Amino acid sequence: MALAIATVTNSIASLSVSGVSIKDIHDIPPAALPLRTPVLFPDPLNFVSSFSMERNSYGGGSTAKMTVTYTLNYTFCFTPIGDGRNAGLDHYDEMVAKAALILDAILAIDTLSGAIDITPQSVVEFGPVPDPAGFMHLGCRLALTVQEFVN
Amino acid sequence: MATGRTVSRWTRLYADGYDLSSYTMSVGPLDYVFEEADLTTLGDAIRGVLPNKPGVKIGTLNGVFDNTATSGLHTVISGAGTYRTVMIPIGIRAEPAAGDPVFNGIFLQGAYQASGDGPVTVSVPFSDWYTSQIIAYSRPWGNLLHANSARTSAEGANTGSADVDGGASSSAGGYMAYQVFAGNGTATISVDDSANNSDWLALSGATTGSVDWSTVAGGLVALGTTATVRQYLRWQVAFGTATSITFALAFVRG
Repeated sequence: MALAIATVTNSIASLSVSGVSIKDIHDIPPAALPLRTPVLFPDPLNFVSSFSMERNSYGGGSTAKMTVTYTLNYTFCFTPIGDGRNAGLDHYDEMVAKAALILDAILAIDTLSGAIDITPQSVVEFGPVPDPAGFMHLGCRLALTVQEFVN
Repeated sequence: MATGRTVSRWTRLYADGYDLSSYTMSVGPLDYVFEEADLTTLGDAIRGVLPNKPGVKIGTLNGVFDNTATSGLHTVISGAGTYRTVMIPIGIRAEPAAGDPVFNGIFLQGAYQASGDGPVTVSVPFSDWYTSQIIAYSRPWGNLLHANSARTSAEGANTGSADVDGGASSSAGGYMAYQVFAGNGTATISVDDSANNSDWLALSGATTGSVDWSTVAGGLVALGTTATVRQYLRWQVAFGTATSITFALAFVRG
């Protein structure tokens, strides 16, 4: 078994969260604004972080059993800052509700193609977050810890 | 059946007809250990041993205290000093499925210890095989024939293909292990075997007989130690008054 990061991201993009468009690594939007919909996408900067490998058995790299752990970082853009009558803050409760739905979908995963396990590691920066074009949106950042077996 | 490595979250623990998996944090070690009989003589250059009687244990169950009626860990096994019929299937990177490894036995539950500063947890140490429940086999590891799920009378008998391919016929008997988690009447759970995976016969002796599964239960049914068990095995159910039973079934070759 080789590393399956692409398979994992594809599996995450296949999750169903009502009212949220989840993007794969080949589908990162250049900007969230034109989508007119809440969107969760891989962070182009530092998408994969905290990579670590534990060698579990004897053997060379092609045969030794290894356990690989890494973090996948996503950004959730709910609505542009300034949208609404209160600079976007009147949508804050809706944003939190959608973020909770995303977390629920991840927590409910039994098996994920490509990964042995996936768990939310952190949810940070609730508030203004930039889309890839730098436009600020109400949203948050999610870090997901993924574990894979190699060989 | 998948093969390869797995992680502990796909382990399940069933005892006396209760699925305790969602209350169990860990269990083990799953021991199958032979005593060593030291037969070293003065003339031997190194110590020499032979295997004596094996011990089979499931170690300690560490779980979360929960007194949910009927199914909570506290409700089910807070009474210590008795035996539990235990089945521990290990799923291979997924929920346990037919063919997956299963550790079976009937063990003395020696204690029930609750503690914890934050979440209240329990520690349940198990000892060896309960003496009055000893069967003619020492092997605890077998294979799952039927994963924990419901079967209905509307489905009828199992006409499917093999759940386990033993690789060859054997003539050393074996035993079936079952856990019935829910039922609403009588049914007979049994094992079929086949030499070619198409012509099936009931494996003689491997049956619960007709039982009212309105009361959940776990048990072992041992065959004679020279019984022939053909290469392929599958689960079987004959419904009596029950319209549905939820069960897990495993078989261990002798």
